[in-house]
Amino acid sequence: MKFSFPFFILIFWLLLGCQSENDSSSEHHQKASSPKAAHRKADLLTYVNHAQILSQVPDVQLFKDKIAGVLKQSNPIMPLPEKEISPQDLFFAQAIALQDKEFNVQHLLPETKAPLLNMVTDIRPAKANEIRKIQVAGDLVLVESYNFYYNTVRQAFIDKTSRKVVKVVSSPGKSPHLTNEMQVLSQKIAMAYPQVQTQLGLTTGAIPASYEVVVRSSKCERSRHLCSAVIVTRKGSEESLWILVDLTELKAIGYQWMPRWDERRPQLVTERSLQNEVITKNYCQDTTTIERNRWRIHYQLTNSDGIEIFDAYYNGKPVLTSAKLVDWHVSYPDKKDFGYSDAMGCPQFSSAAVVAFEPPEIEPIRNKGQEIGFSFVQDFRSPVWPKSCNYRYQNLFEFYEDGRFRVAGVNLGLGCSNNGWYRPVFRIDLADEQGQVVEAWEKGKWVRWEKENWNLQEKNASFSPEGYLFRMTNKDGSGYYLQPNNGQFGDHSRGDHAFTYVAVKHTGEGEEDMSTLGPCCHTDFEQGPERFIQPAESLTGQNIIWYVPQMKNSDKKGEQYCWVETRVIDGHEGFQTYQGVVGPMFVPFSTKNK
Amino acid sequence: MSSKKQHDSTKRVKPKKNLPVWLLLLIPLVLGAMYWGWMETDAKAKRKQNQERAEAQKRLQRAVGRADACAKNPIFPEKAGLRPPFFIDLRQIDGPGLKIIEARKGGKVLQKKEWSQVGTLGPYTLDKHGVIYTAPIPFVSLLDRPPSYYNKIMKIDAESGEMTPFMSLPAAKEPTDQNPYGVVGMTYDCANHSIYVSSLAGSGTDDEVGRVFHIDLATKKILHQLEGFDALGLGVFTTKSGKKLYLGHARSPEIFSIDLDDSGGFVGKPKYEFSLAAQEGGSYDNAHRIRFLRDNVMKIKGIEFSFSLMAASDPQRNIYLFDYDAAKDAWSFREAHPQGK
Repeated sequence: MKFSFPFFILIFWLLLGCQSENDSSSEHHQKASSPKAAHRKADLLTYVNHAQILSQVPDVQLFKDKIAGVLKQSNPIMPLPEKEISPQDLFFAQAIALQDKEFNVQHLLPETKAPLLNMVTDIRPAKANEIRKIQVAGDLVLVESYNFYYNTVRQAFIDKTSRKVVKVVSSPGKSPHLTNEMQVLSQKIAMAYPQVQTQLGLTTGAIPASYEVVVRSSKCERSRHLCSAVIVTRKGSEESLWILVDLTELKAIGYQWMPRWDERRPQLVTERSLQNEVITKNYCQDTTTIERNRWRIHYQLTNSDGIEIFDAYYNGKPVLTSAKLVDWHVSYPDKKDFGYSDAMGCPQFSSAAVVAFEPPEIEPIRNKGQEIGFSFVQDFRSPVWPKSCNYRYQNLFEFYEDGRFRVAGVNLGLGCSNNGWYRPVFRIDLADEQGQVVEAWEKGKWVRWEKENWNLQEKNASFSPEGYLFRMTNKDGSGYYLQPNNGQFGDHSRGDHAFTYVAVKHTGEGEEDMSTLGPCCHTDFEQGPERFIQPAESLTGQNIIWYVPQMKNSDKKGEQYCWVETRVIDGHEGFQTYQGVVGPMFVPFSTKNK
Repeated sequence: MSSKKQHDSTKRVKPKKNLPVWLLLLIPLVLGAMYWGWMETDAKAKRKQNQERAEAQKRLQRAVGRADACAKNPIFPEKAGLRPPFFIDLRQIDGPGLKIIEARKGGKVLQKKEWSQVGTLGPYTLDKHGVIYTAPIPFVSLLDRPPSYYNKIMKIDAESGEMTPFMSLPAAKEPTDQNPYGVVGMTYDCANHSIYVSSLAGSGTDDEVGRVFHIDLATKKILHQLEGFDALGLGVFTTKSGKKLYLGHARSPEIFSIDLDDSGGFVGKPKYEFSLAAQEGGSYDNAHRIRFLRDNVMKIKGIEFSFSLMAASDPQRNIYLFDYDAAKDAWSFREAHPQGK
């Protein structure tokens, strides 16, 4: 009889294996398993032409017409179609609810009496737990409505015998029952988008029999809109495409591939989860390059310095090494030392409190119909803007075919009061491999700055006849003028009144992400960059320009600035913004035109 | 065919160079006996362990409910002239720090200067003596303190209200600006006079290296440590099947639980319980606080949490209520609503 070697291995493995198992069970430090988000294809449909796409969907137009009709009524509420009421003998309840004052209390905006859109979303026998909760006994019928302006569900409980409303419950932020009509509309909207069709491998919006479609409620936490998710699964597939639909604005928001629905561990897509997923993956972890209008630029969302434009070339020549907005200093003079140093950045894993929800928007700049450049805007918001003490800022860059470019910041309110001062801190690193001379316009002439220095654009500041304040000249004689914004750029802005600092470029002075540079509430030149020019070193030709404009908000009628007002638009909540814009233009010159 | 036969035959008659057969039989017998003996000893130990565990489970089953029921309010607010009931306010309205406020309209407010000097405070828990344990968290900006500051626990004396550092916690990795958070969750366990504390320090986009510490309050000793789980809210509750620590996942709207042994140590790995987003009226919220109420209700405060800094204004908070069904040994969803509504 022969015993092979593997037998001994088996015995020792058993011995060692058991021993090892025993050891690990007494170990206090354990590695937990937790879900890791697998890479999934997702995208937002923010800048597609929704109107054009949805013009092909008659149901959307019909629904819009229906809304317009409802808003003309004295009681602006869309009733539930009779065929959706089950059992049919509950139909009486709708008429009773629509006559009830408390149930209909949110039909007009108290201040302006503007009609607000409401819709009856459900009529059914009340469930036992609902009856328990309201502590009213009886055979009750529930009538539910949704208010699009307040994003609120109201439920009227009607006694079937007495045919009276016995209780009305209001639930702000709750998602209503999704009617059949809304489910059908959701599917039609979702499938109208060519991007969605492409994801599903279809060429039209018609869904073949080999696909399953489910429509369920979803949440739009940030817009506070009524939203649904259309979930399309090819039969037998382990993945589903979730398409989020905004039923308040009647458009698709975006899509995401998810594992097939698993009741034991459901994974959902909401507006917030989709936005975070798309922005983080596409704009925080990756660099993007744009080539247009003679420019080639790179950009990436940062941890806390907004969106950074870097390695920008004009006609193949390096122009801008980096431009970013590191902080917004917000102060309220009526309250000593009260304010914030707001950082803009990525929506996840960042030290920003005002974050990107949407991708950057790139638009052509036209003059008399002629395209002369492009603008690049990245929006950042506090989660529940425009509620009090929430902020919305934008990075704005403009690149022109003639070589000019602008680095700007936009403020869209609301802040904590109508007496707020905003001081955004820009860091601008012009390409200057060969060294650059900096001159300031002082007392009617260009004066070279030999050392690090700063300057404030006072009310009586003097500019060169062309409106320039600084001149940066390269060794080859070319360079850029810095032209402060004095309201001349056609954006209704009220000037920069900026502090400008010129510092020697040093490692660790802002080329990496800066969580926060300075305090909120200083009104003088101590905005943060002063630390890089004290004590003043001799300028070497490798410079950083720090630019800190100042603007004050206003809510005064006709003079609103850095402000936002809530409006009623088509019966739902909308916003009228009054932007405040600051930031200089950089104008190129060569030896010939200097 | 013939060659194969020959080969087989050769193999049988020539067992050359092998050990004696008796020895070959003896070795596995000896090893087998050793293994059997070891297995028997191990089985006995396991039987004993199981018996102990079953007894412990029985003890625990007798006390279904929250684990922090013995926690009480501190004395110092009353000494300072506040009339109970009062609540601990960490909303950071009108400045950072902690406030004690009488729970009535126009109630008195108590805030010691030192309570605001440590910065914005986040989680807190009370112990059986009325001591408050809390921790600083980053808020709006990192101007005043770096991320490494936020991985510690502060203690407020029950008698005097004096705030002192209690202990710093070890981070799995050096905290960075990409995740400025350290200690974010805290809960008390009466049984062991200990606290569970969750820390996100060092966690990053791709690295989930958060820790949950079990700390003895008398000795400040870290008794047990769970690795690799980013938890926000924490709460201990004894169910019919044993005592569990409930954890709100910081990276998803999911709630997990992990079994606790008699000493409060972690048994096994965190198990998925349910998702806040999947509940009727739920949002993509993270469970920021988990509290257990008297009538075996789990109250979860859900917020948006993305490892970024909190905005200045009040964030959207949603309250989720779950009822413990002892018959099914499971939690059933009751309702979700915005906080204060």
